[in-house]
Amino acid sequence: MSVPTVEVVGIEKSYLRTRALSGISFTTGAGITGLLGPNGAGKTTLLRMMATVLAPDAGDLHLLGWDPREPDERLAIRRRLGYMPQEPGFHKAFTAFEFVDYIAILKEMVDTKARHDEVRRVLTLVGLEGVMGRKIKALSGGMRRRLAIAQAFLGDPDLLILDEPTAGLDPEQRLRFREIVSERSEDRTVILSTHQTEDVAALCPRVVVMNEGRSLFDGTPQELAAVAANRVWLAGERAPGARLSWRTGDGAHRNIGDAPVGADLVEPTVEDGYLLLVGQGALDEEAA
Amino acid sequence: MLTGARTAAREARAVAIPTAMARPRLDVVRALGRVETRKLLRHPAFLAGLGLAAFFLLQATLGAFDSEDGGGDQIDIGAVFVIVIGVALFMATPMGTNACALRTDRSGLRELYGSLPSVPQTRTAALLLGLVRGPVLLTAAVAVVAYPVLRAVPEFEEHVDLVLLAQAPLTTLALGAIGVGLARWLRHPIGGPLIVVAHVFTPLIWALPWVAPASGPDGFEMGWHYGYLGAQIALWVSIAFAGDRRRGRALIVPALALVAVVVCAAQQIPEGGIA
Repeated sequence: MSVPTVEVVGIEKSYLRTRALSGISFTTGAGITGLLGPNGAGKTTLLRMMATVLAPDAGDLHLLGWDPREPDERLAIRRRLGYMPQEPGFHKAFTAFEFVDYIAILKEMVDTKARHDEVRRVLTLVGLEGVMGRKIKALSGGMRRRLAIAQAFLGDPDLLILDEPTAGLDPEQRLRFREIVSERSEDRTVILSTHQTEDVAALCPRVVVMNEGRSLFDGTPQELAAVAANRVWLAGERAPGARLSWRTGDGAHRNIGDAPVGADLVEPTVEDGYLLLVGQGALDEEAA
Repeated sequence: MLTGARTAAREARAVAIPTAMARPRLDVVRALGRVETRKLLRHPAFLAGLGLAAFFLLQATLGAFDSEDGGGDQIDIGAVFVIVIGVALFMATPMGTNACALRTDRSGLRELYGSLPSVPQTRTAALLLGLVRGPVLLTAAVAVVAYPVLRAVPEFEEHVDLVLLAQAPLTTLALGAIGVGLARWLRHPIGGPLIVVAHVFTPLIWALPWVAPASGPDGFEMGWHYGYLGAQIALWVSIAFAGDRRRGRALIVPALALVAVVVCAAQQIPEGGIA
């Protein structure tokens, strides 16, 4: 791994009596790291901390070598950060250009010409060059999502935090998103959370699976798929010992769990590994 | 109830966005101020306030002239026009600034803005700059036009002087600052209309800024009145910034400004009270 740009050590966070993060730790450097996990796993809480908008209750966090607890260092991080929240808001009476321009000013881009060029660049990057002058209230959900992605790319940040960036994008837009992000990840750190295991498999050399505020897995997508090795099989019907089972398009049942002897084993996917891990986590939780 | 308040405070602390630095950058404020000027002058709340105030004032003024003189031919249209535009600007400005100041909360952008290097005070300062560059300059322009127009009307001549007209842009600034300050603490769109209703329909001349005549039987002490306007501006600007910081220390300046408002309000009352 390259020089670590994000170091998360024993981070804890509670909202009153609800524990969102329970001592999560991982380290990552340049490249794309995907955070996978079910709703309520703590992904958004962790990303908000990395975006310096939430303070942890305990633990250490270092971003780009700085400690966000220190006001000066927090400012230094924010100057090199691009963040797309899970539910990005918009000034709906602004045009797409005006909105990104407003964010660009708040990112301390004060030279008008250079800023406007940068705004046009990021809007073109996400394919919104044709609707720059259109009011946000007239844009579709997918276009608004791309607008939120565009503002995160302003100033070519060293650390990009994207919370479910592909939610609501159509397949073509998702492919375009993958292209943009992968182009920029060679010497930059990108951390994205998603429910889409295909995005993780296609984009991320590194994946962290979270559940109940803890890290269940930290490795490559191949290693995550390998968690389900010899535990995925096809059958004509739902197997009694399967932890999960669903009917596929060709009529066969895809079963995940402890395969019976002689089962028709198939190559596991990232999704299989993820489902098995999260399902196992839930079972362990129940047993405890 | 106390437990509920304590829980709410704990919850607010748990999700509070840590700020990066204490002061806004001036070049960022200037750049953002340009955007805020445009947005404020084109804001539906400002335009609607302007239109509605002008409409009702014109109705009332023309009606009064009609009933007194038995015909509209006695009316100095120019004088009516500048007065109506000036007063409409007073009414529309707090509506517009209040709506613009609420924009971030209503759009759910606090989290995204929190991740940016500019502190919340930057947006407040930019909005106040937009207020000065927009409605305040407009009011000043109206006052400049109003001076010769009103002086030409015999009934107004003795009352209208530079001391009176110079209050107009300061009043707009104070009313606009009230709109921003209120929005930082009352995060609801009712704030703007509330100011206008309070101003027009209640005897709140001592609580809200207004243009006061220097001469005549109701003449005010102008030194104190200017001090009053200045203190009102200081009060609401500092309340707006205190709303961004939400710390006890940030309330020191508003408290001092409030004392100045009360002292100036008390001192400017002419001997024998207000007729």
